[in-house]
Amino acid sequence: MSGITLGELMRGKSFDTCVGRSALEIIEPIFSRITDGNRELKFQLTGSFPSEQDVRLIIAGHSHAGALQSALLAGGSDPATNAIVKALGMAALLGAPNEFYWKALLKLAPNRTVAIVWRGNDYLLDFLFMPYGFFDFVNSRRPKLQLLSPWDTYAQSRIGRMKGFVTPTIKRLFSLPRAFHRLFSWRTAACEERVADFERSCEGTLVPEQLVREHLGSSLSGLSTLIEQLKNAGVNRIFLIGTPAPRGDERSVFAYMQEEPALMELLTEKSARYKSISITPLSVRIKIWATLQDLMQEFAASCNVTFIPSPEETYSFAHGLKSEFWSNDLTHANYLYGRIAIHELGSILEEAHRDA
Amino acid sequence: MRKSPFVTFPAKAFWSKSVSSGWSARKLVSDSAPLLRGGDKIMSAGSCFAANIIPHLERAGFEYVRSEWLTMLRGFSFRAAPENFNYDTYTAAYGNIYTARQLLQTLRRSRGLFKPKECVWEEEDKFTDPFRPGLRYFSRSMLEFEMLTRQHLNCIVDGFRRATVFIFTLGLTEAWVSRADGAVYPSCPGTIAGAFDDAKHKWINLSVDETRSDLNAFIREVRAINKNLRIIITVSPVPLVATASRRHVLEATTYSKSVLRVAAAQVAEQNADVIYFPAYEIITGPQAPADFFESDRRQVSQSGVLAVMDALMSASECNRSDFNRGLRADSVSLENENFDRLASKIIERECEEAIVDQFRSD
Repeated sequence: MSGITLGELMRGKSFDTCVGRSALEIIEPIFSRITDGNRELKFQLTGSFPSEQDVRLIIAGHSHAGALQSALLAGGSDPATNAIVKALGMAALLGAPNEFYWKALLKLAPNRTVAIVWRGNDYLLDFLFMPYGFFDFVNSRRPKLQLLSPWDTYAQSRIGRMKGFVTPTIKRLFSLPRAFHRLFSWRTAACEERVADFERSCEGTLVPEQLVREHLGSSLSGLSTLIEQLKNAGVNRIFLIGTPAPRGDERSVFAYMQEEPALMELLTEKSARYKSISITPLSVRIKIWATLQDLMQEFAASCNVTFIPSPEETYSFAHGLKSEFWSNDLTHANYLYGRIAIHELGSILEEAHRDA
Repeated sequence: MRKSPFVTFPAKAFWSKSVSSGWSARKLVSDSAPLLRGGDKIMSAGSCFAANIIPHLERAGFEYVRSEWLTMLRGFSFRAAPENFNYDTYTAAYGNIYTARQLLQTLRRSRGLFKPKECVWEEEDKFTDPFRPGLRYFSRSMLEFEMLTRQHLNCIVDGFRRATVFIFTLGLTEAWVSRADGAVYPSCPGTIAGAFDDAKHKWINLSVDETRSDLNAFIREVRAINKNLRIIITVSPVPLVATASRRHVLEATTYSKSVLRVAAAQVAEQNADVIYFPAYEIITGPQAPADFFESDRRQVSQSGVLAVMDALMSASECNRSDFNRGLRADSVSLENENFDRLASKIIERECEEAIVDQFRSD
């Protein structure tokens, strides 16, 4: 285990796991070959098409693309989705997003539309656990999003509260099984002593949103290069697809951990090192995710690319990704989510077609 | 026959015996009670020179109190550039505090005793703290600004509560203030952020009486938070980067440093547990080697800082072996570094005061 970070472990999850192996087996993918210099790149496109020539829109990207790809693979079971997929000539480029994957996308891009799903999990890799108390921040676009106490008390007095939130306390957020209480000594008492104040005793820190934005923004650095290359390659149009909200179930995180001995071992090791270790409250994870979506939207606007936000019906700011859209792992959404995203993509293209 | 009283005076009272020959910066502080004691928790503030001594204090085994973390939040490694200037350096993120009045104002603001009328500079999506105008990670909304500022001010009080020693380095007498309520800005509005408005802002040059009065008020008020806090006052040897006094900057520097030096001495004499530490004399006295300043004759060189720290540690209960090891490492790194790299290191540590220099008309 030494030298392996939690992030590396999670990044190391195979692409097939993210997409859902059973879905992949539903239909036969199109296998194509592209020549790259002296090498031949083999890639998989999936969709209900007789040949590669019929494909007009390609969904590609990192692991969150799996939800859309699964929806394509399972498209036959939903006539509405199937109709959109056929009408748009939609297919997904499968494979681990490595150098060859992007090369394949660039080869396929000319005269086609490309919908990119870019990363979107980094914030969880970086901030799923908080070893020393917590940090929180104000999302200035959505100032009513809840803050951890004691900051929330102040914010509520200034701007009120969005409907649907249960006023959070750190104790309530962490009503976890006793076994985990023994493993991780939650720091709650000190926080609740001074709800009305901003004292440091809670070991939580309010950080500037700008700092969070700069951190998250670094995950988009490779995207500008890809978009530039796609434009140079003669792509018709580019969409950037928002990534799903975090799921709001701390228990499932630990249940998942229990099934992954490597993660448990790592976590125990971290816990010993940091004395206590806590899962980041959902309210903070949602805010970080929302900030990432803001950055994607701003980034897309700056590159003249259309951003398709995560569908509103799939999440709430109070509870995160709705349970019917959870996949069988910690961070990804399932094919039902992908289906809604495909419908959104279809609506936007249809609207654009009408306008044209 | 009556003898001259000088007969009984120690060698240090005579230039010929203590400066012309036998010079040692350590002897300058040898009579002081231990300036820093084992187990002391140190908080500091002041001009850029004050920031330079912090790593040396930590290396000597002292605990430097840190109550506010910006980009260096424990347990998280933000992929983000460090804060500008010295905001991340001090106990709380107040950055450089150049005047006694700014120090007093900072304490009063942190205790809720002073609320400046011009408390935020607002642009679209950017809310700047006039008292921390160079923050890289500014607020993006008024709510965020209010909350981060409250947190910051509470961290200052927390720092004063936890510290056993407070070191303050006086830097300037010149300051830009609000005409409305006298609030002191760390830099002239419009220099780093905000906009200068003659109807709202004015320049002042604090006198000895004003500086002494501000320092005395600070000592009285900080001891309301922490009655046992010991205070060490120093004067920064770094000359003014620019003056608004319409005099030559060298003349203005001499005036400022003289005022600060006199005020510091008077305050140390008038208050228990307040000691003046002669960093200014070690660097600027005629005995000081030319290389205590860099070629611009303004920046204090690494060897100058080390000389000050050596004197401070000689009068402190510190882990000498740790400190000496640090000194040797610093000396070796100094020898190894070429001038360009050293200069760039210094520029990196430059304070917001120096931004004024960019406005000079060549």
